[in-house]
Amino acid sequence: MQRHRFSIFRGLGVTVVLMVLMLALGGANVFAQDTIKIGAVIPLSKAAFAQVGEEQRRGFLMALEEVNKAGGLLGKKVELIIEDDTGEPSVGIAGMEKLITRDKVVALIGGYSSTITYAQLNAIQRYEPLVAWIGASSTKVEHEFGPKPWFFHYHPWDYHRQSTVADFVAGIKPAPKTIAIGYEDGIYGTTSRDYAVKYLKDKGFQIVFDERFKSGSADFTPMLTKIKATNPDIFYWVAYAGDTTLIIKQAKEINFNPKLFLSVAINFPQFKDSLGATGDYVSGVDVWIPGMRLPETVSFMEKYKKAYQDRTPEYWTPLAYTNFMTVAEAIRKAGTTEKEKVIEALKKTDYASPVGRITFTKSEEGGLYQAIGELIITQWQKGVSQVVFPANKATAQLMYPTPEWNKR
Amino acid sequence: MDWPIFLQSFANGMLIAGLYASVTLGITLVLGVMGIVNFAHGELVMLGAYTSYWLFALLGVDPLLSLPISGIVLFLIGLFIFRFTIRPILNDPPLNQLLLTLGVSIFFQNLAMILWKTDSRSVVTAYSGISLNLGMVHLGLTRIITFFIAVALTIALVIFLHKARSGRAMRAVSENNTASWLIGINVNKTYLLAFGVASGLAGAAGALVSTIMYTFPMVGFKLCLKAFCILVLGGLGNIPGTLVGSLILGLTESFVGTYVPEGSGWAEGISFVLIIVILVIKPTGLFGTRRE
Repeated sequence: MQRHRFSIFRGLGVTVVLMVLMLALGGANVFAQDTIKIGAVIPLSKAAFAQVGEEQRRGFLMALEEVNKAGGLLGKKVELIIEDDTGEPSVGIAGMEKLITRDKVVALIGGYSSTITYAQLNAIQRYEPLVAWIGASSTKVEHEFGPKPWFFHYHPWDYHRQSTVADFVAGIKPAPKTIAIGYEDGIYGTTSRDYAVKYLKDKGFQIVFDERFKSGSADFTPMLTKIKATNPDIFYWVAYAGDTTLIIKQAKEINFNPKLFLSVAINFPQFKDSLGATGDYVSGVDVWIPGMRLPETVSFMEKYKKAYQDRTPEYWTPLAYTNFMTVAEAIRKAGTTEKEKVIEALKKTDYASPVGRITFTKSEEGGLYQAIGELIITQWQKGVSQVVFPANKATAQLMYPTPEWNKR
Repeated sequence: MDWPIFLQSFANGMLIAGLYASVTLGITLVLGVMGIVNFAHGELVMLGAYTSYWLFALLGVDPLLSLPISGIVLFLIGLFIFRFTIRPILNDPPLNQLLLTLGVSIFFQNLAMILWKTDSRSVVTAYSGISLNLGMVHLGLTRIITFFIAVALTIALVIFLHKARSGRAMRAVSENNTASWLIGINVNKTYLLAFGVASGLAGAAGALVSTIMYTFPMVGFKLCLKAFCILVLGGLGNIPGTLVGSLILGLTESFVGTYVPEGSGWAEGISFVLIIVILVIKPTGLFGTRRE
């Protein structure tokens, strides 16, 4: 027993030494005061989320380098402090609290999951910090925090996505009639589903399947087997990147053949690598793709290719880049890091970004400052992502109906 | 009864059970022989998946060919982990051992995140996505292969434990390590070998994960949690029990996913429901005997 107690004490001793070391290293920040600090909270270590966190980090770092190379802001260097929310609301809250109270950042940027955003904003609203947020598409966040004068939101809200989807499928010829909807069980999936069902029913579609699933599952074949039995014209699912890859692979394995595979945000970098030709004909609603033909998109892609040779960004990278750049612009225009003045300057943003022109306007369900409201539908065609909707942005015709797996 | 759906979900459950079994085997072995619950096993699976992925991405080695290679690589890593982390605490209380393996697990997760970032990577072979049509049922070829490899690994392990001298030594040590020591079995060496073999099995399982799922720093941890459910189901440290436990979990998840309304959401949680039910009703597991 004596021995055991000894080893527990030894373990405690090591822990204490480690904690002291960590504090000492963390404390080093105190000496680096002559910088303008911006804090980002992004997911870097949860299966289905982390890919987006990495995308955002690349965008932030590109913008940070660009701003600092041009001499920083107000004569100071800009420092970006990144916190990992690990996909857990509690960790996300702690990260934000730390950025506000210890690092005293000028603005909070980044963000992804709606569930985490909601918890974070709820916890930190008493500080009323400047939050310029690219995460969260759930209107639960919009209803609660959209009216706050310190909350700026970039990402489209759910209804922007779902109304685009409904408009798109209603225009397909020959007209599809039935649709099966699967959605992940977080706030993101459930709110998306509610709007999708509402808009699709308005357009006269018959919903033959309507169920949630757990993001990060190893096996979607049970759900797909069930959906296959309902024989829908369109299979529409709302999920995160890792789920989507598995869902498509397994749909092929069990020979499930809807006339259209339709999802959300399918232009993540591993889509093509992971699926190859299996990913062809899959369509999805999206904010941006690298193949868009704006001059800012083209020049952004040139910079990106220099920094990350072998990668293709999804929309999170230019969105994060835009997020950082607009905040930096606002600080520059305000001429100070004083919160009220930066907010005033941010309100007047008019910035030609790689995702399109950015201005902040009111959104339909209560948001005061919404940056993006217009989306696109893309489809993978012979390994290339093409814009197929709306017509004025299209780079190719929609390929419909999707041929059966054994006839490809 | 709609037979095609029933048979398809039966087959789905069987196939995923193969993957679960391959992941659980190594944990069972370490628990049976050493009495240590190895939380780091999931990370060994993850390292196996990365070994297989990188062999594929850099050298174009097919994951089924690289399976023995990642098995051997992980065997060596396992020896290393045992020597420097497990062996010094072999005589410590179970809580310390548990915390240590948990620490090793977190260490490897973060190491993987730093080394390889958190992109989920996938191995795409010429035959991935090929589907076999067996009348009413469609089965993915890679999943069928995975299933049979898992069964083969289990059989190989059982033969090893019953026929090979070192395997029999493992069984002896698991029965009673003091008595084994008295009759001249080198207990430490047996532990080392058992941990190495378990890690090798994790490496093989990792190669399977890289083909039918995806490779990601946290991929092992999630599977490891399911493996614990299987351990509880099958009786702690019991190899045939592991196989049956995997089948029960795989089939339950599949049938719940297919037949229960909103089942796709429930299926992922069912493993934990099973743990609770078994622990309350029959704490030794379905096939377990009481361990002293």
